[in-house]
Amino acid sequence: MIKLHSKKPLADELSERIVIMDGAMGTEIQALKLVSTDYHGKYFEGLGSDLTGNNDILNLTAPDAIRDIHLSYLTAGADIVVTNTFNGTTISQADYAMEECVAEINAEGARLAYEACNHIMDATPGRTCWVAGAIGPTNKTTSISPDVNDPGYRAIDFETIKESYKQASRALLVGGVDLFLLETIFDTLNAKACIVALEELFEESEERRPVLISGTVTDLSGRTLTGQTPEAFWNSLRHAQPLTIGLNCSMGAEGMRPHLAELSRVADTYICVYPNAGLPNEFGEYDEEATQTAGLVREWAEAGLVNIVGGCCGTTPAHVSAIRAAVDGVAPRTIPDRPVAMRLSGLEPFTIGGPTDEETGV
Amino acid sequence: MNGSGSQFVNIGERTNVTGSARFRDLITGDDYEAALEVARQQVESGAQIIDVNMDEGMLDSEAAMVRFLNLIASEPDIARIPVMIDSSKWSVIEAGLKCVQGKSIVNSISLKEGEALFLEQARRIRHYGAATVVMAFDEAGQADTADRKFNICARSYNLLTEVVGFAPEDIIFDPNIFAVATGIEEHNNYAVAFIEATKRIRAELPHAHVSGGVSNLSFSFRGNNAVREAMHAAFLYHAIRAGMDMGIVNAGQIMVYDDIPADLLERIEDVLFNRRADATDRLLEVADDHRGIGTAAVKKNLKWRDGNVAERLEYALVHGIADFVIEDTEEA
Repeated sequence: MIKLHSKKPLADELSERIVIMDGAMGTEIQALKLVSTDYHGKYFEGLGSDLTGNNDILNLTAPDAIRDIHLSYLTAGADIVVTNTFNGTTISQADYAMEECVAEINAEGARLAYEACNHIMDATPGRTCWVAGAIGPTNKTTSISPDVNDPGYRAIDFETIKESYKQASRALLVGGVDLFLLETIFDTLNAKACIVALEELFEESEERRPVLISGTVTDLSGRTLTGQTPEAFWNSLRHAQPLTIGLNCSMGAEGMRPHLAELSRVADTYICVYPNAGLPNEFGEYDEEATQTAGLVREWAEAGLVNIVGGCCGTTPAHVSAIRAAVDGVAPRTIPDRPVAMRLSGLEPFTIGGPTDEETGV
Repeated sequence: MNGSGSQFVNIGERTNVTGSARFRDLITGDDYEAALEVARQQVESGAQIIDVNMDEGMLDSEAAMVRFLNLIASEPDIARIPVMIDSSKWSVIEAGLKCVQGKSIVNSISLKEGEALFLEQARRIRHYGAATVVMAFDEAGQADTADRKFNICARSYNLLTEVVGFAPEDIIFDPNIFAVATGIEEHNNYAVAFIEATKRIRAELPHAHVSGGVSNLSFSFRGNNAVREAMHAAFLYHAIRAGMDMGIVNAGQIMVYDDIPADLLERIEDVLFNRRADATDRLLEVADDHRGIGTAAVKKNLKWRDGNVAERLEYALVHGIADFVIEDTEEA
């Protein structure tokens, strides 16, 4: 019988200290060197199609392995664990013809993270661990045409992706997530569809959860794949009133620094950031040592840029442990008080009204 | 980039099938490539937002809105600025909102069909993450006096901020710019009413903005673009001082207030401020004499090139003329 812990709201904790998020799920799963039969497990024994690489299906076929990864991060000092549901939408699962399993993938993903948190909270009175339900970007883009000869074409529309997000989110909510994490956003319109989905879900289910939003910049210019600057990205998503906005993945902590600084300057909410362990090497592996990542993250903390930190691709429990130690005792970023103005965006931000930036010094 | 402080924001109007015959012909003729050039031209002429309107009976307006916005999204030099999604049909607005990754502006919603629909549309706009224009229009019709304009805006503001939770800084009121100098006496006070309502909105509805479609003002002078431009410039001069902070304009054709000949300006201001009963007649008397003063004429008249380099640069900056900028700056 699972003991129900009443959890302190994450927002309260964020005003007091820098909170630690877990590290990579995907590269930790890769390290297990699972084979085709592991992906099938008992659940899909004898199924004809190959599920190798469908990490999200492991919530059903190898739940112990996933729960153990969550436990290893919690033991390393993570306060928040992120569910193994990055590709848990019908859109992404179509690659494996596993659309029918989406509800289960998300509900089980939430349950495994929840159980791991409860295990640690049972053993450590006074400690709070939160479950963030991961919602990935999908492999489709609502803002860009995949056909160079027809720039007006879209492979997916807003309504389709919204429904897909809503289905996954509903199962995560039922499964018991404390938070939602929209991560690795490369197309802000996809994220806007997800926000509409969540708003509808919250209204229908008459309960809300805080939302964490995390974009990814694709190159040193600091723009998203669909061309927005960090400030334009924030202006596009501010209406969701997310608990945090931030960045993850992409080029590692070092390359992320200026774009994080821009977001931290303009966003009047908490900042959550979790970089890759550097840039991948020629074999697609991440070499950045835990101490190196932690050193870069410590500098962010000392500069007052962050409220939640963790790791993305290539980071391990060792990275999380080092990051936790590195930011221990460093004060969290305070939310900037921005002048009231209409803050619009295209690819770039555009502000109407309020004092000029020169007047306020921001 | 920003339009902070006292700056006035130009919203490009030429990508509007109801306002531009040329754009309408391009869209109905399925020439989207040339239509995109119109949008690009607006941005190059200084539009900071572009208004897109596809309300034309012969068109599938939803499909046209979606196609045009999707095409704009692929053009970084256009897509860098926000879009104003303009339609009198909610279905077209909503289709447009589903195409833009940026934070755009809806144009428009109003209390025309009652509170329930207004609130529902506002909630949806909030979920999509857009700002919105609210017309001074209620169940009884379009507001034409300053009091009616203000009262409808105040009622809308309270509903939006208190019932929907809409951010007040994301509300733009359009208190209706109607044509003046039409020969109909009831129209004489329209510009005054707009300016008075604007002052009250800015003073009493915190953080809200005021916009309007400026071209309507001079509708009775169709065919005389020079006088129309002068009327727009004079109107904007005063409306901006009253607190109007954005407007739908022909971005390439805004005359400089100080360039309006004094006698013409006086007659225009008599009309705008409804200062004398014969104001319209007096403006009509001189309208034909001033056909040659618009921005097109200003750009053709090269007398300013006789000045020294500092004077030439100043003139070019004030009048937005880029043609000689390279040679002049090199010389400077």
